Amino acid sequence: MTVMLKQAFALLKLLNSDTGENQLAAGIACGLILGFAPALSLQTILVFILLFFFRIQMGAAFASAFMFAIVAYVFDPIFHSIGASVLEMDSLKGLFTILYNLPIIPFTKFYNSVVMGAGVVSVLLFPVVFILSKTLIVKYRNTVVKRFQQTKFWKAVKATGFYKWYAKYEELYG
Amino acid sequence: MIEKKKVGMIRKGAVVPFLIVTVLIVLFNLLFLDSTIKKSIEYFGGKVNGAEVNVDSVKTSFSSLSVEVKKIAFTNASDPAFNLFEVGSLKFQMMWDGVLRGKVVIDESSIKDITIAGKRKALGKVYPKPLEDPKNPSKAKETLQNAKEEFKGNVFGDISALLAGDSSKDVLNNIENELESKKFYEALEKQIDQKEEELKTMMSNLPKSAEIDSYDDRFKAINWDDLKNISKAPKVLKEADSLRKDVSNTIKQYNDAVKRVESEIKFVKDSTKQVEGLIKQDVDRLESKMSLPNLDSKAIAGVLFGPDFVNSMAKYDEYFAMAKKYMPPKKDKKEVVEVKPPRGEGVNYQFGTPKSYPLFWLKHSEISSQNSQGTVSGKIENVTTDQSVVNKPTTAQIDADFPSQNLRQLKAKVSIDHRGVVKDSVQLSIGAFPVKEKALSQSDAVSFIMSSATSSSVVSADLIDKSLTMKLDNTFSDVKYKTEAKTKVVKEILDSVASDASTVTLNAKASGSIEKLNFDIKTNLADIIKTAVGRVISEKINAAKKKIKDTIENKLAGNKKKVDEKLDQLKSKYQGEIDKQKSKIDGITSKIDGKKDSAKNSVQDKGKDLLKGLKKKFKF
Repeated sequence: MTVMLKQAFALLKLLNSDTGENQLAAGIACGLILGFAPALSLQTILVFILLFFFRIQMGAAFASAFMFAIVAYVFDPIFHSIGASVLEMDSLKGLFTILYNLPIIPFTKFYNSVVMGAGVVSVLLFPVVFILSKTLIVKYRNTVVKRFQQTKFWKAVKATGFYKWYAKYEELYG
Repeated sequence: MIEKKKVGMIRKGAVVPFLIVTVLIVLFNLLFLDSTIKKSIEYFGGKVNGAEVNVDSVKTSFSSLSVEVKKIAFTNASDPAFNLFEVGSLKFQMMWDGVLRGKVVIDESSIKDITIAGKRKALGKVYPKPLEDPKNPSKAKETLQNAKEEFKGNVFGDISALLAGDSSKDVLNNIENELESKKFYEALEKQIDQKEEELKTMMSNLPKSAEIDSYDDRFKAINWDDLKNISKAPKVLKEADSLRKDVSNTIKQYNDAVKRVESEIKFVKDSTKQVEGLIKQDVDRLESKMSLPNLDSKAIAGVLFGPDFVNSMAKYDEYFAMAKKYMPPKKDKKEVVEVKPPRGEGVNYQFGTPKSYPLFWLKHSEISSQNSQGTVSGKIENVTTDQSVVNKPTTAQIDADFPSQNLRQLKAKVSIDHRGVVKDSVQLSIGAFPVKEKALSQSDAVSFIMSSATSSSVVSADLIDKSLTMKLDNTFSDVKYKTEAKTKVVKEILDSVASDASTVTLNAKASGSIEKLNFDIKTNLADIIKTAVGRVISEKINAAKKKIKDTIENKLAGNKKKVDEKLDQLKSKYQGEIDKQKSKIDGITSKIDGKKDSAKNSVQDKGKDLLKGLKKKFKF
């Protein structure tokens, strides 16, 4: 829970700071894979490991996973038809047969039409989502954050002792 | 100014916890995995065996995925000072291919150095059998318990009691309250009294004698001569019809009364017939209470060997139930409630032959043992949690010979097929095994014990769906008996049986659905006992039976007399009275009809004469 809260605060902080747009964009893109996958499978575990070891923003990943899971629920029939058409391709049959009979690989549940469809879509959308979210974050910082920082309210907050203390703390330990 | 620390791409903070967890897992496997497996084998083995199971050591190898278990001792639940059997070493190796799919697949295993009935260092714990839910008792256990009750008895104890004259001593005293026939008679008396009251009311509502006599007066008052006069005849006929109608009504009432009385008499007669059946039941019950020996060979065989046969059936039924629990048939699996996933299921595609494994699969286990006790060889194949995946039944074949224990030529063949309809079978044959101190009949007065014998046995048990068949053919040879009896006659009978029955054969069969099993038990010992005992006690048995019947009849004599009297009363009082009145009314009816007929004939004659005169007059 502490990790989650820490990540949520870090997400807000990163969103409003000048740096870390790659971490955030990667988190959102990983959230896409997590959200689109219909059940716990090998690929979702791999994404979790990536989140754990690499400096990818977990809060962004979980928030986007939640959002993409809702979207995926509506798009399941489409994922099914995409997955079914991929799995039924004659040219890939040999590859799938080999994969199907290999150890570990069946844990990915690639042989399921929805898993395959969602997997194909998320792999295709991963770079798109990464680039798009990075662009949007930069734009958000340049427009919304900058405009907010010009407001009298924010200037008044910045003038308080508490903010100065926080700014110093952030500079030293943040 | 302090420079803010630059952070890299890798989350270094996560590496340390990960390493700690990994090291802990590795340490656990290195230090505690073997003891955990050892404890698990002891725990689950004990559950299956029903008594303590001890394992000497377990050695695992992660690289080869192998496990070696040394000395597994299974306590004999019925004699915890000894082991049922002991396995010197058990080795098996799991397949990486299966493990990587999250399954335990053992390609080869070996079981070596088996010994039987070895003395334990310490008494083994015997675990209590799990209590059954009293609201939902197992049908099989209930049936077998009932069968045991059916075979309950003590052949020689009953004979001894009969000869000593003890059996009838107390049983025939104060039996009035227990006799169902007496209770029935008393109830019948009350019913007859009630019916008599009803008949009395009915009789009082019937037309009285004076009323019937008044019909006679009315008959006499009719001027029947006027019938000859055409002008007056209609009036007479009207009066006669009115009388006839009244009389008919009365007849109807009496006819109904006759029917009612007849039906009540029939009821009493039928009830007295019913009493005969109840008397027979009372006699049978008292006979069994007095433990009169049943000299029917089948019954004797049942009493001698029935309980043991039922016990071994119960054991086989338990094994079959266990096999069903751990290897559930396909149709049982469908009973599992399917949980619909929160997201769309999609379609699972299969590519070629899936190398899927069941959760557990022991493909082949070779049994080979040779030690000072004897030899064991055989194999166990396809022990699995899901036979439909493997598409093979679980089979086992064991040949054993333990000369030092006098257990010779043991052959066992087991097949458990749960791929579709349950088809389980066990075939077991033992060339020779020792029998010691087998009590065939034991009580304070008599003991008849097979002190030593050599037995050979062939057992087959088959379960197909819910139909169970078990056959047992035993031959006990070189039988030595131990006989004891309080009375000289019984002792002589026992010694005579013992000298004639040096070889005893037992052929038992049980078949049917587990809820309703039919037993057929035969033994030559029953015929020998029957012959030896029959001469001495058949007269005594018949005398005792007669005594019971006489006692009951004596006790019922008063009731029977009362009922008979009441029946006679019904017949004479009501039926007689009704018949008397009815004949009176019938007389009046016939008189009216007679008068009417004669008047009719006379009018017809007059008419004919008139017609004749007219024909003459007009010269027709």
